[in-house]
Amino acid sequence: MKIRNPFLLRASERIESDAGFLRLYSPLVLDYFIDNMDAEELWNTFLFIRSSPGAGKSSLLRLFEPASLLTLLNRKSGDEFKELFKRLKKLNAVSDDRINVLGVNLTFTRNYELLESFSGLQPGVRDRLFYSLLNSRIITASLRAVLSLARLKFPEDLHKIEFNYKDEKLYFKKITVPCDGRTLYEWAADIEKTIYELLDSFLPISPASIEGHSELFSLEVIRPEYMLVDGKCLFDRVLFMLDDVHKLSSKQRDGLISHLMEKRSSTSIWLSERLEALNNLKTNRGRDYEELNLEDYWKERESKFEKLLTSIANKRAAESREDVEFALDAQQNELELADAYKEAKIVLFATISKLSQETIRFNEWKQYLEQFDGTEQEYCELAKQIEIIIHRNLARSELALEYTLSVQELIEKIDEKVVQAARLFLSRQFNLPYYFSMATLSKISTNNVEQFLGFAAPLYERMLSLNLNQTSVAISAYVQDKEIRKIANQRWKDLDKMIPESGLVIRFLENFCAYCSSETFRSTAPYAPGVNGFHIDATRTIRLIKEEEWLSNDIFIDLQTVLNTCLAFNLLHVREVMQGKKGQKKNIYYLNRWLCVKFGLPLSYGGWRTKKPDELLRWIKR
Amino acid sequence: MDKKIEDKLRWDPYVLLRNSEVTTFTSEHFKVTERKVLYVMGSGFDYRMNLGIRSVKNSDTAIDMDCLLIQYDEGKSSSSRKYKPLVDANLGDLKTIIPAEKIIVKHIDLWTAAGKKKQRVGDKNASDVFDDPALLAPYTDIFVDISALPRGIYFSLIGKIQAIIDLNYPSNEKNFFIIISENAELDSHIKEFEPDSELSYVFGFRGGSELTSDKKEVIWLPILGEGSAGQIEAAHEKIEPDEICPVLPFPSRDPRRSDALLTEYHKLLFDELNVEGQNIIYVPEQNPFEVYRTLAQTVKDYNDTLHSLNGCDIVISTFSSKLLSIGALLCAYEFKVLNNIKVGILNVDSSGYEIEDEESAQKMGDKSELFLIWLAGESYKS
Repeated sequence: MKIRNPFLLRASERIESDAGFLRLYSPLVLDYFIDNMDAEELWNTFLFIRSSPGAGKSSLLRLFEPASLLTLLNRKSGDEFKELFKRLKKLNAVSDDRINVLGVNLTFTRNYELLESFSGLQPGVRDRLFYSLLNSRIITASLRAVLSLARLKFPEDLHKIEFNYKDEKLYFKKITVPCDGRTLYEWAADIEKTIYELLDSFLPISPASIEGHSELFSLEVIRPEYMLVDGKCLFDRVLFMLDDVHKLSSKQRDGLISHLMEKRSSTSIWLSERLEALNNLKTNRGRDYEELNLEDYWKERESKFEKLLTSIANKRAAESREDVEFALDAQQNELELADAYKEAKIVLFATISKLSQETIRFNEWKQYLEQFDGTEQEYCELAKQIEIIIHRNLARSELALEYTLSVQELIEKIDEKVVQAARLFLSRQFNLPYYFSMATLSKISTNNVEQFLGFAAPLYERMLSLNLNQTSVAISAYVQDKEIRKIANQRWKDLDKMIPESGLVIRFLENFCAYCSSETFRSTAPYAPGVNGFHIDATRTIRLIKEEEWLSNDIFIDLQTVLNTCLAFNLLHVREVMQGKKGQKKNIYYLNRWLCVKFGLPLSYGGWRTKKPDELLRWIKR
Repeated sequence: MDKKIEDKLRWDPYVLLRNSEVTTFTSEHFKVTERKVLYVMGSGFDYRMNLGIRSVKNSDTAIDMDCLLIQYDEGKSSSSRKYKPLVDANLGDLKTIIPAEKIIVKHIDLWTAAGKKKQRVGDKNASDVFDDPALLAPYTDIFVDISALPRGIYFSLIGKIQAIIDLNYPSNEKNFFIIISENAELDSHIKEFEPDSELSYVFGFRGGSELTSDKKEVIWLPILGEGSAGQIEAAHEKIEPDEICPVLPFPSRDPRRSDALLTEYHKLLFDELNVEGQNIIYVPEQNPFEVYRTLAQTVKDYNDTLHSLNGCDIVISTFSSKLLSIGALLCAYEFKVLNNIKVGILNVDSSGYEIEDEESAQKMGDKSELFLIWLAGESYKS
C-alpha cells in the first residue's frame, strides 16, 4: 500500500524484505575488504566493525546472512544486484551456483549484562552462565542459518541436519553427540530458557541446576564438516558475526575478546560495536585484529554517499501515493534574494572603505571590487573575501610598508577556504541561505541514512504542500535553509528528553559550540572555513595526573560520561587524522553535522583545535 | 464478561474502591482487632506520598501498622536530591501519621555502575527486599502504596509480593492491596526528562521476546499518555514489534482525551510506525481491572490467531497513569503464572523529574483521588 510521505516510515533493517534491503544496499563498502585484504586473509582475520548508531554496521552483517545471500544468488543478473554479486564473488562469499560462507549473526542485548549485575550469583557462576548462554545462542543461530542456507523449514526440518562432531573434549554433558540437529537445538534452547527463567523468576531458582560452561566451545564445534545435510557439506566456512558487542558489560566484553583472540584458530569472527570513547584494546591492530570504521570509510567517499542518498530519496519518493519527486534547488534564487544582496553590497563596500581608510595598501583591491562585473551575489562574495584578506593583512604585527597591493596578490590569497568562509560569514551577517542542496543535506546526514531520513521527511512534506498548489515542487534554497535550521533547532530542543545525563551533555555542547563559533567568526577567519571539532591532548593534562591515567581518573568521570554519551547518541563522531610525527594518528571529535546547523557552523572537516582534558571539563562545569 | 474468554480470569470478579469507599471499607475492615498491617510505600517528593496511609490510618487510629518505607536514589540528577526539602517535608508529615519507631526504612539503589556503564537494577533490588518470605508472616494485611514509587520499582515489587503470597498462602489467608493517589492534572505538572538509554524488560516480566531460540511474532501494546513521544520511539526501537496495538483511555474524565492523544501521536503512529487504525484498543481510564481484562483478551486473541505461526510474544509498555499501569501488571502476572503465553513489560524510565509551577502543583495534590485495588485475600476466598 502506498503512503503519503514514505520518508517518515521507519522500516527497520529487520522488517525490510531481503530483496528490498539488497536493492538499497550500497556495495561500495565491500571495496574496503577487496582493497585491503585478499579473500583468504579476510576470512582469517579477527575483524572489528565500528561506527556510530545508524551508520550501517548491522546492514553489513545482514548482507552475509544466508537469506540475503540466497536472494542475491537468485537475482544475480538483475541490474540492481549485479555489482553487489560481483563484489561478494570476489570475496569468495558466493560462487556462481552456491553460497560459500555460512553467516551466523548473533545480536547482543542487555540480557547478558543482567547476568553481571544479578544479585545472588557467585562470580565463577556468572562466567559459566555467560559462556553457556553464548554457546546456546550461537548453536541455535547456527542451526537456523544452516536450515536457511539449505532452503529447509524451521523447526520442522531440524532433524535433517547431521551434527557430526566427535565430542573428544567432552563439551556435551547432557546429550550424546554425534546427533541430529533437533537434539542439538533442543539441548541449546533448553539452556537458554533455564537461564532466562533464573533471571526472571520472583522465586529462588538454584543456578546449580543449569548447565554451565567454562569456555566458548560453540565456535569450535560449528564447522562445515560437522554440519551436514543429506550427507553433504553445504558451505566452505562459517562466519560468526557478533553484533552490538558494546551491550555487554565491560568485564564481559573484555573477557570475551581476550577469550576469542586466544582460542580462535581458523574461525572467521566479526565483532560489531558502537564507537565508544576511551575504549582501547590492549592488543595490536594488524597483528591481532583488523578494524573497519564505517564513518572513516565513507569520509573518503562523500560523493558516493550523496549518490546513495539520492537513490534512497528517489526510491522513497516513488513509494508515495502523491507521485511527487524529491527535489531540492541546488542554487540560490537571486530574484528572491535581490533585496538582501542589494543591502549587503552597500554594507560590505562601506566596511571595506572604513577598514582601509587609513592606508593606501588596499586601493587597487577596492578599485577591483568597484569595477567587478558580476552578479550581486558574486559581488558580495568577493567583497567578503576581500574583507577577510584585509583583516588578515591588518592583523600582522610587523609594520607594513605603505605601498599598494596588487590584484594579483589578492587573487593568490583567496583560496578555497577563504571562499567557503566568506559564504558562511555572508550568510550569517545578512541572513542568506547557507544550508541547502542535496550535497549539503548529504553532509548534514553525517554518513547516517537514518539521520538523512529525519531531515528529508519534513522537506518532502513541503514538497507535497507545493504540489497541492500545483507549483514546482523543488524547494528554494531560502526555504530549504529555513526548514533545515528549524529541524536542527527542534532536535536540539528535544535533546533533554532523548539522552541520559542531558544536563551535562547540553552544557558541554553549548560551551563547545560557543567556542567553535568564536573561533570561526573571528574577522581574520584563521581556521577557515571554521572550527567544529577538537582533539584531546592527553599529554597536556594537569600535572598531578599521569598522562595515560586521565581516562580512568575519577576527576574526569563527568567528561568520560559526556564523551561516551555524545558518541553513543551520535552527537560527536571520531575521525582519525595523520598528523605530527610520521604515521602518528590523532582522534578528532567532530560535531555531528546537524549540531553544526544548529549553531550556524560550517559542515567541512579539518577545522579542529587541541584541548586539554581539564579544559574540556571546564565546559561541563561552567 | 466477554464470552470469548473461555478460561476464567483470576481477578473476576474484582474489588476496586475509590475515595470515600476506601475509608468506609477500611474502617469496617479494621474493626477486627487482630489485624496487623504492613504498609509498603516510597519516600519521594510527590505531594501524594502520604494521602493513602493517612486515609487508612484515619479510618481507625488503633490499627496495628508497620510502615516499610523504601528510599531510593536516582543518581546525580535525581529529583529526590533536587527536591530534598519536599522529600523531608513528606517524611516529617509521615511521622505525624505513624510513630517513627514503626517505620522500617529500606534503602535501594536504582543503579549499579560496572566500569563506565550504569545499569538500572532498582527493579531487582526492590524485589529482593522481600527475599525472605518470613517478612510477610506476621501481617494479616499488606498494602503497597505506589503513589510515590517509580515504575522502575513497583512492577517487580508487587509481582514479588503476589508471587510469595501465591506460593505460601494459596488459600487467600493474607489480604493484599494496592493503593494509588491518582491525579492526572498533577501528573501533567511533573515532567520527566533524561529517559534511560539502555532499555530492558522489567524484572519478573521479561516476557519471551528476547529468547532467541523461540522466536515468535512480537505484538506491542503501548498504553499511551501525554508527552511521551521520545519514550515511545525508544521503546519501539528496542522491541522491534511486528504489530502495534496502541491502547487509549476511554471512557475518560475528559471525554476527548483519546482524541487528543491521537492528534498528538498521529504522525508518529500512522506515518512513522505505520499503525493500522483498526488496531486501536480502548480501555477505561479509571479501572485497572477492566484494562487487565481487555489486555488479557487481546493477548489470547492474538495468540489464537497466530497459532499456526507458533503463537506470539506480547510486550506491554505503559506511558500513562499508574492506575492504568496496574492493569498491565495484572495481565503480565496472570500469563506468567499460566506460563502459556509470554507477556513482557518494557517501560522507559527516566532519571529526572521536574515539577512545573510548584505552588499550584502542591494545591492540586489535595484534589487527588484515592483508589484501592484488592488483589488477594478474604474477598477472593471461594
